[in-house]
Amino acid sequence: MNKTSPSVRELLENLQARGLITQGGVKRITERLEGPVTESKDPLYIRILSGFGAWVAAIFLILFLGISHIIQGGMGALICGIFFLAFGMGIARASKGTFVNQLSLALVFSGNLLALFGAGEVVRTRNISVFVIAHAMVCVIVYPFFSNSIYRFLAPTALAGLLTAWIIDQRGFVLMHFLIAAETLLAGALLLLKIRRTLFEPLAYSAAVMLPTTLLVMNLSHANLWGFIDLFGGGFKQPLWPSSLLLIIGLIYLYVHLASGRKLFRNSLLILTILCTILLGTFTTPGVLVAIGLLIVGYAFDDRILTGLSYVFLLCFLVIFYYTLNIDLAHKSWVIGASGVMFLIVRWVAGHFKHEMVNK
Amino acid sequence: MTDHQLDKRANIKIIRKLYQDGLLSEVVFSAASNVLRPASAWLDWARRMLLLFGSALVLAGVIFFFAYNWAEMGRFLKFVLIELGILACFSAAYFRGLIRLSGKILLLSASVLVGVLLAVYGQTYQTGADAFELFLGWAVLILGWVLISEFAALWIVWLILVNTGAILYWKQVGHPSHSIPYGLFCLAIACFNSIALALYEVGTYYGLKWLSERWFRGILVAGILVALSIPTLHVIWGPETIGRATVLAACGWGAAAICGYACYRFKLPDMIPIAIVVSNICLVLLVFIGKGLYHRIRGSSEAGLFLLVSVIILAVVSAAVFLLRSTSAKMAKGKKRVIDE
Repeated sequence: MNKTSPSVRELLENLQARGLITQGGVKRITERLEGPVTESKDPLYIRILSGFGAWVAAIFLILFLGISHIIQGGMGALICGIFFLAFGMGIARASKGTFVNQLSLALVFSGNLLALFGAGEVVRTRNISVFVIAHAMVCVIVYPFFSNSIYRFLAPTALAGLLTAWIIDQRGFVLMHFLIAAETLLAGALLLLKIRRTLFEPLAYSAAVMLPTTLLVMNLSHANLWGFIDLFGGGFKQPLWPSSLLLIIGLIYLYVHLASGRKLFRNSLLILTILCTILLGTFTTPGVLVAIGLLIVGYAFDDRILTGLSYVFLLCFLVIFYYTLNIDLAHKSWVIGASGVMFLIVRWVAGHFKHEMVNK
Repeated sequence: MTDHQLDKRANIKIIRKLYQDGLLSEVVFSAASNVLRPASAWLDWARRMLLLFGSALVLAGVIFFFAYNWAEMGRFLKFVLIELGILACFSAAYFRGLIRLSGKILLLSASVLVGVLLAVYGQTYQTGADAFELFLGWAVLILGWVLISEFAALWIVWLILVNTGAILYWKQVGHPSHSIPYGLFCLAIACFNSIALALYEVGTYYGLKWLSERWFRGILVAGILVALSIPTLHVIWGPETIGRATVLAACGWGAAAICGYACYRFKLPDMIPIAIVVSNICLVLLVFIGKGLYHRIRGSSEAGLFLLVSVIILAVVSAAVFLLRSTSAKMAKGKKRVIDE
């Protein structure tokens, strides 16, 4: 937010003076803002603490079940998992108490894990596809009925993680591009929705995390950093350009979406931005584009979580990109330095646009 | 009636919420977005980002260049290049002025290069100095710049240098010679961070705008509690091996946690430090209970122990979440009442 941005009152007066909003409209908005808060959303630190506590408790619960031999075999685990899921969802609906909420989250976490383990044991296979299908089924059933934002965030993220692991395990590296396409569409659709229902809020953040994470895994396996591919038997190297192309298109759509809706970047500045994006997409890793996209969305919607995520991922992708550049350190230093100089030149050019804007 | 909601700074989140609730039409939403995010605001933001990433990349490029050519470079060239870098950054910061972000970042770069210079000096002349001397020397040399910078990030860098230097000093000198007990050292680190926190609070009280970022306070509170938690956990886990200083540090932890909570609950209401304090108390409490249970039940029923620990974790975290929620609600009410009055 701009430090000189007006107060809500000033903004409403501005809109009223321009004839965009009536006296009645202002009154309704005032009543809503001053009225009691209808929905209470926990701040991030409470959600992290709550999720972490439930996760650790779920691990201890599973350890208890494992050591005490209460569960016998895969079918037992599956049935117990389903029971935990149902019980967790049931008590969450029955009571809104803090302890009950924590307990329900821990039960759903452990139920989900037990269901996956049980499914794998019942089918008697170590193929990750079984876990993918089982987890997808659990997600589809639990997500709409269990209104816990922590689970709603973690479960789809874990599904993307399982899918990525399955693709690597199957060595179908080309499928990674399809996964990235699906994640881009999901993230784009959810993050740019003007009216986003509470149900989809955690899914939107999950999509914002899973997309760069998948790209990070793709980068690591592509460059075989720290013997990453060797972990899975080694062997594949696919070009990254399909994902880059897709993300360039996605990023340009984002600019146009934000600009045309708000009449920003209509002219040469938009062209300059698009040009820079194409250059970045051509020369760097596609992850950089995603991180920039998140940075822009974070700023556009005043979303600190997305902004924080974008910084972390941008740093990761830049480090990986320069680390894996197939040139010696001397050339690398010039490339990095020159990239920085390019950024500063673009900044200087953007400064001229600002002068023009002020003069107009 | 309260008017504080209307007098808050408008942001995209608020108007988006109003739009979602059907109180703003599409046209009004777009118009309001344009007021809050005019083209100039986008440009300013984009230029800030470009400056940040551009400077970071140039600096990284310079470091890579040195790393590659290190072996072939003569001593003289090494020193000249680094010193020129410091001079260039400092001069540029001087001409840009420390009011601008670019000036502050240049001063931060100069401060980082001072560390590089010290490292090169130590490597070239094999002074035999311990690593802590590098960090403490670095902190002393850049102190002047830190004082005039009015830049929270540079202060954090300085505090990290002093903390690292102190830890290395204890590891390399204090611990081997048994001159500084481990508990006392942790207490000293916590005291140092407490002084920094106190100065921060004084600064914000007197309205220093560059200190208004809340993350700075959170980092300092975490710095104090982490330093005191280590001896506290030691007291819980191995009470037979501890000295008086460790017990003193554990008492210090208790005092810091209580004072921290009371201060940020009643004096300077802020939920971030309260959340850090409460999470830290949770951790210590869980270790304490876990240790007690482990000794009592060991051997008899390990499976039961796991179930019990699971329930205790849920209970402790639920209590913490409940406390944080109610504290947050009470603080919001208190704020509202103050505005009404």
